[in-house]
Amino acid sequence: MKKGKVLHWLWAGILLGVLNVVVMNVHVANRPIGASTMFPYLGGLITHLKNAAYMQVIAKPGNWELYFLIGAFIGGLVSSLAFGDFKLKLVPSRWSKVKGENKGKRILWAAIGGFLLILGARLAGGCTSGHILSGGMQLSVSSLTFGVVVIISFLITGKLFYGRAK
Amino acid sequence: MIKVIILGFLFGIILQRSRVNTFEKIGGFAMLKDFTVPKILLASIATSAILLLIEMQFGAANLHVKPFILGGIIVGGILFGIGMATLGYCPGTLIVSIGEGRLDAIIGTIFGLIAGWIYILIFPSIKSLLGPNLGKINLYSGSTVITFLIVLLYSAVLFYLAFYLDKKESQL
Repeated sequence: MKKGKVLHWLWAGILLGVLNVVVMNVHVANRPIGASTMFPYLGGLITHLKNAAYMQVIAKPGNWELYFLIGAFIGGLVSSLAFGDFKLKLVPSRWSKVKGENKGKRILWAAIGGFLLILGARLAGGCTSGHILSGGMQLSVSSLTFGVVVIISFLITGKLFYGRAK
Repeated sequence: MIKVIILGFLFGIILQRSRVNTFEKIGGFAMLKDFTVPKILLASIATSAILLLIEMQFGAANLHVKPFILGGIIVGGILFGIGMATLGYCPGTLIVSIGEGRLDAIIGTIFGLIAGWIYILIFPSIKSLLGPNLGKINLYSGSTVITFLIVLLYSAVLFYLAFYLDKKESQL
């Protein structure tokens, strides 16, 4: 299938901003967009930890984010199928240009990265969605601080890990 | 429930169609080869900051500011940045990329679920180490007029940064 036209970054940003304001409406969700609480919530449901202290803290947002991300998964699936982007692929082409085609290496770093990503998000109480997008929208000091710390850590890691990428 | 799934569906479509969910864009930003991620984040925050303030004037929205727990924000932010750079996805884009068939996103999600599970187990013992909690603070002023001026300036700076990055990117 012919690939669809990419949504311009400015429209994507404006649409995401409008979506977050709609989600915030008291008659819609009365909370901002968020994603990372789903991970401990689903992890806790699978391992039957429903009564653990943290599970009780996150029960409501975890449940909301689970359904939100089910929708996001369906959105990604439908949209990638409709526009010809769907492809079963393990090693991204940009990764292989710098790190090579080795599947084990990609699996190892995806595992380490995924683990640190969610551990970090839970320690900080949010992620790119809940802190940076939603906290940024509210001029929240915690979220703006998180954004600055993340960008510094992200770019230093990028420099050390990928070096002078071609 | 259906309402929340529809909201997530729209989120997924915007991310997928802008390609910002992909390793090419997120990993590409870590390599300083692609600025789609910061441009979209900046434009989204700038748009929503103004619209939210207007929405709040009609009593149609409330603030949901997260507490400023200094230790957790700094340690968590460092780990999150390392994870996002090596994985090449963040929590939301990870799930959208699974929908697109990316198998490395499935690996990242499985280990994210394991991290979440471990966090539940360690939460009682680390809860007190995350502080100090400096409260749910934001940059709004007590005066609505001044708050509007702050938000307009904030949004203008963020839009300017987004267009500045767009210009820099075209020179790469």
